[in-house]
Amino acid sequence: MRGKRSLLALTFGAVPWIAYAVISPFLNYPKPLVAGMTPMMFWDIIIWLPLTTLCLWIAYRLEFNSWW
Amino acid sequence: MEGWIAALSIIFGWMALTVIVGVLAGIKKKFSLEGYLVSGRTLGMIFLYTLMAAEIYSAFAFLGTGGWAYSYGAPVLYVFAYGSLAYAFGYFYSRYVWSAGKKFGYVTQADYFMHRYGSKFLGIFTALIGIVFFVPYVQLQFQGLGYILNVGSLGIISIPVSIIIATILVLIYVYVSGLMGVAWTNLLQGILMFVVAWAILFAIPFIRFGGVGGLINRLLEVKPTMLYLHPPLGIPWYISTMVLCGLGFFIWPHLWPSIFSAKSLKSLKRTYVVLPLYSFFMLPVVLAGMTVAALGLKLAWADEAVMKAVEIAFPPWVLGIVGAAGFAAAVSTASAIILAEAGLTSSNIYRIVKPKASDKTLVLVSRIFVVVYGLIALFLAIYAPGRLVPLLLLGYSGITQMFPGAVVGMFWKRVNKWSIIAGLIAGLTTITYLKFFGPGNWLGIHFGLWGLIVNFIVVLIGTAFVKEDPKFKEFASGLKEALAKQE
Repeated sequence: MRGKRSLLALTFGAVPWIAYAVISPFLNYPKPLVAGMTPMMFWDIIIWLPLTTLCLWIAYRLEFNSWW
Repeated sequence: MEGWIAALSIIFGWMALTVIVGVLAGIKKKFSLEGYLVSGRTLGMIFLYTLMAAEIYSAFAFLGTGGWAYSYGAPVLYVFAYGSLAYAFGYFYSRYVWSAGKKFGYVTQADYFMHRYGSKFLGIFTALIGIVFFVPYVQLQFQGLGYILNVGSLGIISIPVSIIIATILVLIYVYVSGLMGVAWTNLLQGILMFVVAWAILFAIPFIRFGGVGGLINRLLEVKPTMLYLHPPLGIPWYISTMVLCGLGFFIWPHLWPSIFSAKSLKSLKRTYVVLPLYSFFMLPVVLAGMTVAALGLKLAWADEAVMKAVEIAFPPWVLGIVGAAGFAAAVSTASAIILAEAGLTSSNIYRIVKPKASDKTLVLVSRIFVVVYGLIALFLAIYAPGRLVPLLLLGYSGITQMFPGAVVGMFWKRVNKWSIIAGLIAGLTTITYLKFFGPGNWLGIHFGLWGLIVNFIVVLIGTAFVKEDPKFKEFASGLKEALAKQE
């Protein structure tokens, strides 16, 4: 049970790596602007800074079984 | 009053304030401010968070990213990416560093190398690698400080003189307040950086172009190539650089003591959960740099872009506030690095060469080397100035070569000292060749990553000759015990 949870936590830790190193290069276009920014700016900054925190928080929740 | 006097007064006033706070913190040892770092849980996240943020985000983040955005635009996005990658990696990795440190009583990273691989040579070698590749990291802080004073004085103080003044101030600061001071003042610095970025820098694109969209639309008209990646800083560069830095981040020797000093794993991990959000403060910095580019201004020193952006949008005294924040960013990091360098020199080199040295001598040696390393970085900042982003990447290229030894060897029994030493030499040779004699970023991939690839191959070949490193058994059983204790 413990092992399964840690493995799942690790999977969530890998998600930002995929979002940045694998997916973000596909957004390498100047247009269309999203909230005034290029697609890659919006993806790297506005979406994935908070989502990285969210992923790590889920990992934390899985590992320690507590909200904070 | 003349504008530049107001600006400089604010910068120097802030400097004086941080030194006073640092010294007071050092005197009142009973209130062990280190304790704040250690027991983040009782004091709440905010303290631990700003402490770490101030140490991590330096003149590189405050001026370097803005300068890179001014010159090239889109490639600067790698900075946001690697921060997230690094925290996602460190969230898991720090547990092992912390447990091993606690179990075996490590104080520095070189202690780990020496113990895990049972090799004094490897301890000294990794300490030396740390020291050498710290140099560009410190150099960029001093250069950054020089730009701040130069623009802050509206050009009246020349760059070399600015760099010299800044260096002397930092060395006094480190010498007087030491690590105690660093802990307390980092709280002030961390808050100031974030507030200035959002309250002042973020306003710049609005003042000049009516908003972020206005700025980007202007760039689409005048410099559209800045808005997407293309060679030489194309997609291979972007990915390889973020991977290099994402892996290398937690190998920086000055981050290990802060991991060791955490009292609970939970508070450490919580900090990594929220650190990606601090990267948001670089968004206004990047936008300020892009504003200068969109206006078509030509700068003699591209890394002055952020300060120039402030100069053209605000009255001079605002430059003083931004300068103080930039100053905060540079000093909080430079002081931590210089102290780590001195620590590595005294405890992992001097003490091993001269085992009978007393504690008093070791402290003296550390202090002398604080000054020596400061002067080396000063000399390079004046006579061999570079762009801030490549300077940090040079540091990363060297530091990341310790990844196989620091990470892979922690888990894999077939890795021994010989394969690690061979891998380090191969990796360092590769980056030296590519950087100074070869094509640099060959095929568009950052030379540091090429070094790491060669390094890994050598380490892998080495494992073919070793069934099990006897040193690993002892290390692993101890680590296992320590990990089990936390459950």
